[in-house]
Amino acid sequence: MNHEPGPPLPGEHVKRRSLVEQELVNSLDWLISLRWLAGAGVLGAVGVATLALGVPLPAAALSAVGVGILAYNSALWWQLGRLRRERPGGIPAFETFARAQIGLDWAAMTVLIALSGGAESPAIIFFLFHITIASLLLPHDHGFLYVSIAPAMVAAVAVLEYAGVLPHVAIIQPARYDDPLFVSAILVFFTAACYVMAYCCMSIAKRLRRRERELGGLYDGVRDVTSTLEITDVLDRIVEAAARVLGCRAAAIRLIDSVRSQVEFAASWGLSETYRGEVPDEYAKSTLDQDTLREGVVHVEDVASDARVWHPELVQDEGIASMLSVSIAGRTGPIGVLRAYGAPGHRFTGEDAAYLQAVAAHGAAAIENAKAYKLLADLDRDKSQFLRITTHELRSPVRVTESLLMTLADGYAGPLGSDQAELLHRAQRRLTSLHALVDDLLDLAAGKAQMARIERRQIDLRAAVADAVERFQSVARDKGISLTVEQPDEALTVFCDPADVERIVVNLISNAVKYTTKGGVTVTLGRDADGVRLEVADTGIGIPADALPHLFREFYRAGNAKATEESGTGLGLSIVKLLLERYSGRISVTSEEGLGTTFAVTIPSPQATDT
Amino acid sequence: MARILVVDDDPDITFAISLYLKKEQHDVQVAASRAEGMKALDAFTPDLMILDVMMEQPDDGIAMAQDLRRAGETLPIIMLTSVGKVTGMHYDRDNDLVPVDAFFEKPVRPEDLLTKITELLKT
Repeated sequence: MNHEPGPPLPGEHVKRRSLVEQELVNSLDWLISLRWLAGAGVLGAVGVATLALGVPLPAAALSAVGVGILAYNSALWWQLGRLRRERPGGIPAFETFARAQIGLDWAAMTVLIALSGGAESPAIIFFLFHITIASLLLPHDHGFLYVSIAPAMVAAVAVLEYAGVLPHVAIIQPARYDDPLFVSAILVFFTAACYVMAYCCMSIAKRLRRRERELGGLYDGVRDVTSTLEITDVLDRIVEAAARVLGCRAAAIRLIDSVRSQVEFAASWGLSETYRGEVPDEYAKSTLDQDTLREGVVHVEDVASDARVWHPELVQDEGIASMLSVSIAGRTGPIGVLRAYGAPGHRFTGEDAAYLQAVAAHGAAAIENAKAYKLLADLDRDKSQFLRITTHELRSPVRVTESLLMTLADGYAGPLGSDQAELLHRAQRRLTSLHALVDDLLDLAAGKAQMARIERRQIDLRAAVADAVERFQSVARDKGISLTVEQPDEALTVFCDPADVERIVVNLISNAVKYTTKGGVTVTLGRDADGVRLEVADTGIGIPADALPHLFREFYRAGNAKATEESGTGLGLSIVKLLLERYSGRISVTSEEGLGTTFAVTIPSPQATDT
Repeated sequence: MARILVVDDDPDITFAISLYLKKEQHDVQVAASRAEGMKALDAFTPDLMILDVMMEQPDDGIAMAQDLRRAGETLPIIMLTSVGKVTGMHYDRDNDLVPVDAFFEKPVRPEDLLTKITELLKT
């Protein structure tokens, strides 16, 4: 299976070793590049030594070694490429490959040394390069054993030459290779140098690895914090990563509530449930937590003898001998502690404390983010609920009052005198306005609050228009104006909430009818390049040019509109615009004062599959 | 003329409706909740029911209509709503969700309601 190198897929939990694996691959690549130089260097050195300096070296054999080095480097280069692509066994495969490389190199170098003077060869020093590289790059389980190979090889060459088994190449005069003191001295110093070098490099490498792990842990932590908002998951991962990096037995996050009365485990790794249940949850009782918050870092070196530990026996039963505690600082103050627990024999260092503090900062960020998100979610929910209740509380009384007045006005409580009727009708008119205003305001608020659960359906616009036209037909008739519809035979479906579509159509037609006193209103339906098109054209009072830019503003009514018609909320068009925005629809208006107005609405719609 | 049960938790609405129903010589019984309505159904055996959508629970009326139909009641049901929208709503005696014969948004004109009642009682 081919893997693409590069950043992990979103949501995929990247295993820690991929960072380490990457490092290893880079190192091997670098080794191979160096080896090109080494091979070339051998050839170059042989050339200079024999041709320019006249040193009596077996040039042919040495050159063969140089060429050999270049040859097996090519093979290694090709193999690395293959390993990279196919990634057969992950890190172990690469490590075997690395050891093979180093083995080959040492074989080559031994031959070189045998051909260039044995114990007298200056090339012995180059072994140290190799030991450095091997100690830095490779894991250290058999480190020193592996390092012994180099002095062993050199010793073998020296001994064999001394014994006469291997021919000696004399590069200096007088020869020294048969002087036991000289040879021993060289070997002893060389061997010592190898081990010292190896030890230094391994120590440095250990620190570097530790840093790598810490970085890996922090990197994962940052990614987790920004990836998921499930705060419990994030904290769990942070805690686990901390324990792994520190190499300790357990880790946990304890959070304190805002009034500093309760403290509880928000996440833990490596702690048993019994232990977590036993630890007191009252802040006042928890000396360790209090001290941590006050001082920032607390190191309990021995649980048994530290007074701050609340119940040493229970802690020791859990297998904990030491603790390292850092405070988690929120924006407005400390919000908890991050604690690492060490098994007997584990020692926490100053570096550990520094690392824990870095991790605690991540934890703080995650917790604050999660809190903010929860607050927003709560606010949103409260707002929706408020709106829902308000809707009912406002609408209901208006409608009930209208029902009561209707009953009265229609004579069902007895005949009305003309004054009574007049008063009643005035009241009813105001109530109708209020009804419209309340509805419009609530629509606007609901639209803005995004609380309206939009239920989309396939709707034929022709049906919506037909309903609206029917609604206003009698009003139009009473006013003496026409209200007609022109539509094609094909269905004009849009994928919208029917309530929204009704609202848009009704608002436009209602406006047209309201502001027209002669002539009529024509509703035209059709399709254009962008979707379904609805046009409402009237021969009414028109809109003055200076009013056009403000038309869709809330509560805006053009001057001539107010003069013609008393009632009107000024919200109708702003609602239409708001609703259209939900569906990426558009609206445009053309008008001439005194002649009429045309509103054109386009709603994007899937093409051609209408039936 | 007919026995009509009005189920609505708003006493003003029931007052107004009863007023003009009685004027038209109908025999009217009023119930203020779903539970009361079910009891009245058994006791009063109406020829037609007028149900409000929202009573104690937001969809009390609709749930009640569903229950009635499931129990085999075939009497005509007229539904009233003060916050819902009628347009786009699918309703029908045999509909699964809203098994009512007519649906009005409040405020409903008395004569519209009376006309509908007469129409439904004829069938």
